[in-house]
Amino acid sequence: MNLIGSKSIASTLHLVVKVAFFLATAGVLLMSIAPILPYRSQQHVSFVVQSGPLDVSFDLFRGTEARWWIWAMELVSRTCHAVVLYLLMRILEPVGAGELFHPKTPNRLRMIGCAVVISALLRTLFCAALLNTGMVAESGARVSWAIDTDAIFMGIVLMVLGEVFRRGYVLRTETELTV
Amino acid sequence: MGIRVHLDRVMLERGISLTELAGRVGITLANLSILKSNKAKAVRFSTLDALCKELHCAPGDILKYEMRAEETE
Repeated sequence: MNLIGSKSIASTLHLVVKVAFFLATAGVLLMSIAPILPYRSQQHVSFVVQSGPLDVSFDLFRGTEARWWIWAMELVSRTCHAVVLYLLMRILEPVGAGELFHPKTPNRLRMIGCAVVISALLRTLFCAALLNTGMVAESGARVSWAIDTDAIFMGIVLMVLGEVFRRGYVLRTETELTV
Repeated sequence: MGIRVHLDRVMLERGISLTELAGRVGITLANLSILKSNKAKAVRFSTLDALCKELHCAPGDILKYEMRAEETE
């Protein structure tokens, strides 16, 4: 099986990411309408948040006031996740068609990098604000604030990769126009 | 770019078509068309050599340097 082109690993991955994107979008939509769901449905709205400095398992309508903060942060985080999946899907689309250096790929990679860094910083700021206001999550929850260096490092690597792809596209264009 | 390709003029003088020249030189019609329409970013010495050999001309007959408007001011 080829790495790029039609019926390749890239085209299969594109399909997988597409499905993941639609699932993530549905998740974001469901999460955003959770507070306005009827009371009967509200009893079953629970989330497990395990990312970066936050590790919380909570029920949206049974916890303390902090649950709304956690809900808002998780909504922003999942939206960022959906955006990253969308951009990844768009990057893999031309690769699946056999075009590795697409002119829009560098910008998309940079945007993914920015989304990852912003999401990590927002999460850290949120946790710091949550602890600063004295809000306490329900029992069993653990909230600590720390900078998610792994995510920031990954974001910077993606931005550098974006620049690599930009240069690659320029080189490919020049090669194509060399007679 | 200040370098202009005058391949069409040389071809007209020699009475040779683009398809015929592409076949004789051994490069694709698409690439020769890119060169003729001044869209090429670079020309290999081997291509220039083959063109000069077939058209019985010097590189200077095909490539000319033209001053840009901002350079002449």
